Amino acid sequence: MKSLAVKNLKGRSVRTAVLMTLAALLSFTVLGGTLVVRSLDKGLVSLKARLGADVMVVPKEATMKKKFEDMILQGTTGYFYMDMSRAEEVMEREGVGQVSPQFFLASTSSSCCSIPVQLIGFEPETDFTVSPWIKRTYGGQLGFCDIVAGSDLNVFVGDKLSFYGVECTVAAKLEKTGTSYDTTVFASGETVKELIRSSLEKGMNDFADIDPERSVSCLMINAADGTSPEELVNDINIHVKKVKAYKTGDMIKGISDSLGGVSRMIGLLIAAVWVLGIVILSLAFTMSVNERRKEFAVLRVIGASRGSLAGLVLKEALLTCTLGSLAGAALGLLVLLPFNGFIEETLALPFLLPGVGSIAGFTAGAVILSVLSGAAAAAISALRVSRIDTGLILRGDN
Amino acid sequence: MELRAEKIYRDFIRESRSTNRFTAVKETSMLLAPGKLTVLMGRSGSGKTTLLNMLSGLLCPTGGSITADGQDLYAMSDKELSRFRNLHMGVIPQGQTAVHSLDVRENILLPFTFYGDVPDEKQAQELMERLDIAHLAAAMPSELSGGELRRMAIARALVRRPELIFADEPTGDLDDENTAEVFRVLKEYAAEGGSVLTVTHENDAKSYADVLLTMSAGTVSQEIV
Amino acid sequence: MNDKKNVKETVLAAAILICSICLCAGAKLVFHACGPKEDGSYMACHWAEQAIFGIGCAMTAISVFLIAVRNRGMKRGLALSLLPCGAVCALIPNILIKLCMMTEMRCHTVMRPAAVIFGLITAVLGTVYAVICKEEKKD
Repeated sequence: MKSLAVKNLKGRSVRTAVLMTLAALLSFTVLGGTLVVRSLDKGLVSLKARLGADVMVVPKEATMKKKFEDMILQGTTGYFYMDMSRAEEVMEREGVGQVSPQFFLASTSSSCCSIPVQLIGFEPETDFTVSPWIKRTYGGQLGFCDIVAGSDLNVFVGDKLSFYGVECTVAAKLEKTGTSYDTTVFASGETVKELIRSSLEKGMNDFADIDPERSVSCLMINAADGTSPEELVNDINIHVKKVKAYKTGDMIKGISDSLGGVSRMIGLLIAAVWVLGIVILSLAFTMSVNERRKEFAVLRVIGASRGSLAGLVLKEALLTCTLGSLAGAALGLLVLLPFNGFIEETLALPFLLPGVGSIAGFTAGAVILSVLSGAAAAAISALRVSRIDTGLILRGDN
Repeated sequence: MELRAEKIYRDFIRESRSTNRFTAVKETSMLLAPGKLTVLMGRSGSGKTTLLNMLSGLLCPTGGSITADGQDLYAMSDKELSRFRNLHMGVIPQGQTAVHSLDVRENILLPFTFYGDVPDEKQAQELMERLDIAHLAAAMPSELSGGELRRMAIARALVRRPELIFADEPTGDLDDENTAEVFRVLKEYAAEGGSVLTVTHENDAKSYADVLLTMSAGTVSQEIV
Repeated sequence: MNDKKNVKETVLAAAILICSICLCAGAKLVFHACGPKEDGSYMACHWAEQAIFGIGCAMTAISVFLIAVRNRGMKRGLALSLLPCGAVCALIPNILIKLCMMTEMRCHTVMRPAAVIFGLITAVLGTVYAVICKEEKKD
């Protein structure tokens, strides 16, 4: 004969299905919530790393309408330039340690889709912000008209992409970063300057009168030893005209704050579902045990000990909760993993899924937690069953 | 197996009454001997079921002792007493006592499941045939009539061939023919060496009794058969 | 036993029909691809959406036949045909028909996973149905 617990569960299929659904809801919520919170945390860490410098200096006009901040944080495209002389002035300030210029350009939307692509040029000799990322997937030196594509661009290594009539080859693809890097194309400064030149020739650049050779878009700076980024930012903002220096830490403070808010909300939601779930499960188990008092009394009569009756109730609860939790976790993964791009777009925050190992760990954790909660909810019922007064129940029938 | 009750009595607390303590079974001593069918008769509320529950190890008496072949039932741990009941006692409780998620055959074999014992399918089949429920072996309890459920409970109590049988109104839902068959089965069981105690209202039972007891207001008295 | 098997088959067939309907209706109504560009022209992903819609309609028709047809052999064949159909459906977005440039666009984030999930679920359910039908024959 199959286990009595299994038979009992099958015999009351509707009740079992409802309890399984509850357990599934518990594990789904905890897994989904944890994964989203962890992905947001990881996205923030990735964003901090992606900025990679203590200070960023951009021309003052780039600060209008938060153009620069949106570019860095939200992934909107844009470009702006300052004259090399301004950049040199900044570089000569005391307290400037590592420094490297970057060149920005945005592709037109005609090449593909309705969204233009951000292009960032860097100087391989001095760069310390982009190269570490590229090195993870590409060990070689970027040649002229070679590009590195962000992970969210639907291109493959070896593909040709044309920007302003200049054909470029995809030399590598970046790993997913969960930030605006994922939709950016990187190239050497020389390549981007060539693209800028081509855009000017075609009259497709908003800055009609710049000299690509004497222009930079942004300076990435690390403060020298003994100088704090705050001091450096103040010094540049006071002494160098027409530029604006940002401390990168301050730039992501807003994101960090809203991320904290989202995480708290999700935490509260998990807690609410959890408490509700456990209360409903406890009630359901209690009701089920009350309804079956006579049956348990009969089992006692046949020779079941108090312990084995409690064990039966616990076994039924564990079976239901394990199956339900596994289904909930599977559903959670089925929703979260394929649709993580959609969640990222909806939240509009840096979002980077944890690695496979961590996801497996969180899944196991969510299932175990949900099963344990089910067992805890059933424990009271199990205790009650183990204390039933068999004689009284059997007498009460007539 | 011989079951001996020495000066057992049982008090209950009734909070709703002014006299909050009442004695359901007054001090009683009795013997259930092998080979005897003992019939216990009496009005409703006279304490018959309470006495049966005490004797079958389900209700601890307030005082006195119950021994089975010298072993004090209520000195055993719950686990030991449960196993003892499983091996040596067959109890047929009042009313419908089916486990609803199991079919008839599984219900009858239920006593074998708790301790991992090998089910005695042959004995189950024989009992089902004898009690005329063999054709219902695969039916679920919800598909059975009251009488069929009763017969199933009887088969379940006898399937392990226990030495002690306690039947509480075993013929409550049965027609005359089936009632006679049940008493015949119990009588035969006693004749084969079992100690059988049955609580009943049926006057017909008297003719099967080896020992006839009557109970009134918690007091047991023996009648001459 | 046969009753239980029939219940299983009916539930499976209903699930297959629901998944197929989700696929063809969803491709147009819920998880459709990116909209037209400003000039009114469509991007590549639109044609992937059309293909998913088409194969979804075919799978819905197969599911309806699966329920309507009495012959068990035919039922098995129809159920089995859902396996390649579902697999092709899962392969359409970005592998057989390329989607948009940015993987953060709707065709990648919504349409592709939905088509893959529904396609594969239908394929698996179809195969399970075929296997169950086969076992029945053995009995």
